[in-house]
Amino acid sequence: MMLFPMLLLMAPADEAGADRGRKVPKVQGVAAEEKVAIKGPQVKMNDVRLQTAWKMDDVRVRQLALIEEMLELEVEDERYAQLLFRKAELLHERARYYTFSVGSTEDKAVELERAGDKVGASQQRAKITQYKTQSKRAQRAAIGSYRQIIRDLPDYERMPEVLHALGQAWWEVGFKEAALDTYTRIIREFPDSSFVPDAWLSFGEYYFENQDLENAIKAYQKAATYTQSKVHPFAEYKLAWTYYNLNDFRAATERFEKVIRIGQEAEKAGAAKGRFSLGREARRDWVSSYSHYGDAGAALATIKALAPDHGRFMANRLADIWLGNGKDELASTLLDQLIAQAGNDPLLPSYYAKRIRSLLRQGDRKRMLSALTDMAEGLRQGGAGDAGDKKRWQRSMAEADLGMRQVATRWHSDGSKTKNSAMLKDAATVYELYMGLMPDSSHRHEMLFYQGELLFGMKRYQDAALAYQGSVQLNRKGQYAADAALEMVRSYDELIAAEESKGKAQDKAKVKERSARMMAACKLYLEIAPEGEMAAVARYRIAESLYGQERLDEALAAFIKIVDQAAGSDLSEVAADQVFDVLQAKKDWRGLLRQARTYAVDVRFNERPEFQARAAKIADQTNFKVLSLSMADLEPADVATGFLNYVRDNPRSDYADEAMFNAAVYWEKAGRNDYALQVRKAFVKRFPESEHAGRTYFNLANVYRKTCDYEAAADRLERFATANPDDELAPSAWLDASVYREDLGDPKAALRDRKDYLKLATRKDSKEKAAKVSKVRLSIGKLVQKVDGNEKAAYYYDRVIRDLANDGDKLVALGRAAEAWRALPSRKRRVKQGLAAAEKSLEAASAQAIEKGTKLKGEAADLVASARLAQLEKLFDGFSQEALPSVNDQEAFKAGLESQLKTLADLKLQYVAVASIGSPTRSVTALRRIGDLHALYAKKVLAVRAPRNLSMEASQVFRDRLSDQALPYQDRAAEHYTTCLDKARQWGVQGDDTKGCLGFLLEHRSDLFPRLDEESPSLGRVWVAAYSPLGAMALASSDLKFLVSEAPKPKPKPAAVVAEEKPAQEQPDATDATDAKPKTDEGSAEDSMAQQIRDDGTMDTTDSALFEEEE
Amino acid sequence: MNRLLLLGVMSGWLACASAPKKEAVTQEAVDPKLAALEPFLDDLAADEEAAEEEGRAARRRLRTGRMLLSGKDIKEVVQAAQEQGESPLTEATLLARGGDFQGALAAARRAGGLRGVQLALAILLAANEVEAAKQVVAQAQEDEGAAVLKSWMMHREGQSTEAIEALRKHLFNKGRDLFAYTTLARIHAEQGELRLARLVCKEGLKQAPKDADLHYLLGTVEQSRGRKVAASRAFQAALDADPGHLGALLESARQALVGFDYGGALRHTERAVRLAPGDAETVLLHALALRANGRCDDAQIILEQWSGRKPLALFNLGVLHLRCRNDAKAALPIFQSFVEKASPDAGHPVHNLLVEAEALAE
Repeated sequence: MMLFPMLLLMAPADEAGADRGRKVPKVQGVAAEEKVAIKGPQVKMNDVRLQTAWKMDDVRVRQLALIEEMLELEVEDERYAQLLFRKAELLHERARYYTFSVGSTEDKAVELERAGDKVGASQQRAKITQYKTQSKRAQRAAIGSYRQIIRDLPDYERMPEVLHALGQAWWEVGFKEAALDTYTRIIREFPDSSFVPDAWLSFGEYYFENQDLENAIKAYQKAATYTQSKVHPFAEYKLAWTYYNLNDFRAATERFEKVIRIGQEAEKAGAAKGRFSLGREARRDWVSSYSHYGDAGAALATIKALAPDHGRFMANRLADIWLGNGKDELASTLLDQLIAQAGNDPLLPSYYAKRIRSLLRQGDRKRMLSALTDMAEGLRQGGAGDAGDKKRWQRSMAEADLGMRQVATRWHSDGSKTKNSAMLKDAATVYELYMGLMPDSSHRHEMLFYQGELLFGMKRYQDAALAYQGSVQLNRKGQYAADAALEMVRSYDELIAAEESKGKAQDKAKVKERSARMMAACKLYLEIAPEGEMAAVARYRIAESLYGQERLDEALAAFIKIVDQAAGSDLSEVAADQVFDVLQAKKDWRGLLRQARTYAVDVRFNERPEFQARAAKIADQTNFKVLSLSMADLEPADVATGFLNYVRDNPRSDYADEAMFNAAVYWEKAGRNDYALQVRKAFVKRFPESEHAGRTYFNLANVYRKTCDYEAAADRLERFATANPDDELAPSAWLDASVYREDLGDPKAALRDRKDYLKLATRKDSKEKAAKVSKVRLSIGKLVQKVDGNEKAAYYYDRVIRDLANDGDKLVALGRAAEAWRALPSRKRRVKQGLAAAEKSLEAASAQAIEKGTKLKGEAADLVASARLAQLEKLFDGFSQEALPSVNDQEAFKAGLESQLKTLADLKLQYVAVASIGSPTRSVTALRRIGDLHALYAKKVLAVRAPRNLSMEASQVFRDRLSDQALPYQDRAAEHYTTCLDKARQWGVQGDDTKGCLGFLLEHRSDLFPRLDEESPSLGRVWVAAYSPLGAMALASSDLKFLVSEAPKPKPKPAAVVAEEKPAQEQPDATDATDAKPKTDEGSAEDSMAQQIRDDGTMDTTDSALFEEEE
Repeated sequence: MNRLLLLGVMSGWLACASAPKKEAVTQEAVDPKLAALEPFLDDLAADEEAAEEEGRAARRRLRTGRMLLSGKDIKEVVQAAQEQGESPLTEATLLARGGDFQGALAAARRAGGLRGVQLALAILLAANEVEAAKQVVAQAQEDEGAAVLKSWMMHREGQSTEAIEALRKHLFNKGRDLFAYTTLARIHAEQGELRLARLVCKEGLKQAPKDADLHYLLGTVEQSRGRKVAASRAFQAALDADPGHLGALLESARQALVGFDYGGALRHTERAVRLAPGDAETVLLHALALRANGRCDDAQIILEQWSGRKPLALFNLGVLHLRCRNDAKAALPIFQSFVEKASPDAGHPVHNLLVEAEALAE
């Protein structure tokens, strides 16, 4: 359930992630700041001339009125001229006043317009029109007054001054030619006047404006010749600009130098520092001019020589200009010098910044990174000095800030567009350097955001999250705060998803930590954008984090709240699913049932029928679960009834079939097989498509098996296996059915079922063990023999050999084939051939098994041992028939004894080998033969006749000696026979061989083996306690302690017996195993079967325990 | 036997109106082995007291078993059981093992319940009191195994198929019922359906892997099928589950005798005879085991005790005199007496032995 909401939420995150296109950063105003423009001369002539600030207009008005009155009364020319000149000046000032008023009023109008005050703005516009009119009027009046003086009072002593004022007035109203005429008069008529330089300057200005630079130079030069004049520095300044415009930069530089030195001299002479603004302009313009031809290597020295106090600013500007003009190499050279000689220069950051700009254009990222690293290192300790220096340092740092931002953002942007991961990686480095170097930058907020964007794109989600978080925390109301908060959430989301996909999510502590971070991120987002577009998602994430931290109650409340708030949306559906999950995690089944039922019928989800169906299904499932749990402590019969009631009450439930199935199982547990049977029959009819229906027949078989109705059990097993051949229980079902059929005396059906077993057991996907399948194949032979007779069985065994798993089984098949051929009464040719071939194969296989020392057991061991015994039997017969030579020929007799003893020893060894093959029956035969060998030898010795010529006494002595010779062999024979009987008892073997062994012992060891002619009492009773007239009296093992202590200890056996038994002890490997091992297996298997049957009422085992091999 | 029936039925109806009289206690010499046993029994008593204090069920049943195993006279054990307030069922079992079937029947009927009815029925059937047995079955309640017992009686009357059907139906109705499995297995075995009998035993053992009766029954079935090793294992499993299982003890002893393991046979019969000293078959098999182990004196005592009651004891006593004592003269009249009493068929070995004894006696 957890996966679905995760996927749902992941989808938009993906879109917003790698593919959504992260925000590409752009540093504002880069172009404007990048280029240093050379704007031409910044100081105007009027600015120089008109230093006087105007006074209040009303004062002027009163003065004008007064002058007008005085003019009316004045009769003397000189004084009249003075009054008129004063009137003209006042009018001129008034015109200027209105002109300035126009400017200030225009500013006000613009402000009002911006403020939306259209009425106020239009009022100001009206004022402007009025001011302009008044200005023109005042100007005309002033000009009129000037001209009146010139015309009517030509001898006025201040005529040059009047002419100069008229020239200015004409210039200001735009009649420059009229102004020049006036200036010409000054030059011609008053060559010694102090206004002559001013007049020449006006000519220079006129020509400069009209691009008549040659005449401008002449005029400026004329003006400059008056070195004591006020306008001298300006004339030089303009002369420099004229050369500049003629591209004669060296000449321009010289003139600018002059202006600079004039300024320096003026300062020396007592002018306040900085008051000579033309000097500042000249320094700026000198740099502009020098930049066109200057040598980068010598520039710094030249500048320092020219203006030691302003050298770093000028050099800095020069670098700027060179950078602006694309002369990066020159700029770099100069900057390197500046940086090298910087010391405590507060412009150091600026130098670095410029060098970065230069490198940025060159596109060498490696050099750039190196430079940035140097810069970071160089600037780390800077910023010391007085307040002014600190201020300059800060301004300069702003430039460095800009430079770094440009680099970082450009690489970020270009890297994203071209998908150049190396460039993005370098960009990330620059971001890191920036963050380290600019802790107080006002751009840090945006830069952290962009850093986050970059890192997110690089899938460094944790770093990205931290960057976003830093951005948000730096400025919660910043432009990027909301986006950063959101991306922070997404970063954690991606981080968790990435870790989960790598399997790291197994670490619960990590998951909790991530959840906590995620929750903090979402809370931050909600603080910033409580109604943001992702607010609902953030709330969901918080709830999810709570869930991740296993704060289940809080998570549940949060999810339910989300469902209520966002009802009907995708998110509400996801949250509702999470509600189900949390309740499931809490194991609050009743709560889950209630909630699922609520959502299933909630009208708000009407547009989401799939969800409603899912909720209904969960409700159904939970209802079943609740029922199951509520019945945990009930008796099986009550549980069965409960399940049936569930089926009755919820007939359409998806779990109705399971409930009914369980009911049957619990009826069985309750011991009501009849009810179980009925329920199962009804189940098959009612839920034929149920996944449990397949095994219903199997379970029915189980019921029948338990009630010992094997006919019905076999029938159901056959039906089950027929209908469900792919079920893992199908093979064992066929085999069990086959066993039942065989036990019911229906070998034909048993054969059919066993063949069906083989079909399934030999499929590629079968889990049946090869050894077991092999045994079943062999068992089929016996059924074939019963059903179809010996001939078909013989053919079957011949055929099946190739399919058998091991040599032992193949031997058995060969043996049985031979046996089947032998049993055929027919003497037809094919039977003879078949028998011959089978015996030949068996013989070869037996010989091979002996040669290879193959470990055999059971029938295979019997066959091989029998074959070997048959071979030995001829040798044994030879030994038994061979008599000892007559004692009359002592040499021959002695040789005969030795020969027979040797034969005995050889044969004994061979019989021991037979006993080691692993066949209990044949081992007993071999042991008997070993006893026989010794007994025969003793008998032969005792049968030797004494020489004829011996006396009675000597003859008796001879016989006694023979007895002495024979008796040890008789003893050994008795020991071997005893071993024979011991092992026969141990292996459960009885037959001619045991009788043979016993015969000798009855005769020669009657003390140990008395002839029991008594009858063993047997009333033919079955001693089952329930049917025994003696009843039951169970004892515990501990009750036997006393009896054990009381029991006589077994008599120690003679050492000879132990010694003789050694060879025989080698063989009973198999015997010991047969004696002890099966008992343990049988017991544990039964225990385990019993356990299973108690547990779930299903069939006890997938492996038929009833199929028995030959004993 | 009619008297037995009357008493049995009456004791069932009257539910034992009076307590049985105590027999006079005879003074016996104290066996030093038994004296050594006393601390062992005292330990047991202490264990019982501890069990009672701890709220566990006391294991008095074991005390009677231990007394029997230790060789105490069964009358003494019965008396101890009565004095200690053992259940009537225990008393009935002890009485039956001591040979007092009449008393056992009365006690079994008094005990009631499934096992009481089973024991009563077994006593009556062993005494061939079929009608009385039928009455017992007819009166049995459902919880006294009535359905199974009725099936068994049906089988005895030749309605084996119906009996099997009834038992299957009973298993349907009741679910797991070991008694039903045992009975069904017996019926199949007696019908000669040994493979089915084996399946039923296996089925029962799945549900009760430690049930000694089912293991024993399986052993007999396997023995009948000629699977001696499987039979031996089954008997051993029965003894592992219940070391006092008489059937398994005797079958194991018989197997040991056949396999010439005379020592093993004697160990089994010794235990069996102590648990059921009043049972003829047990005692006579024990005598045979004693004789096979050369303990002719002990065997002779037992055979002489039982020769009046069991012809087999008489025959075996004759063989003992002939083979063990080499006393043909003593053997001869015993064989003659056996022939007179038992009228053995012509193939019986007694005839050859009689000839041999006559020859040797001369």
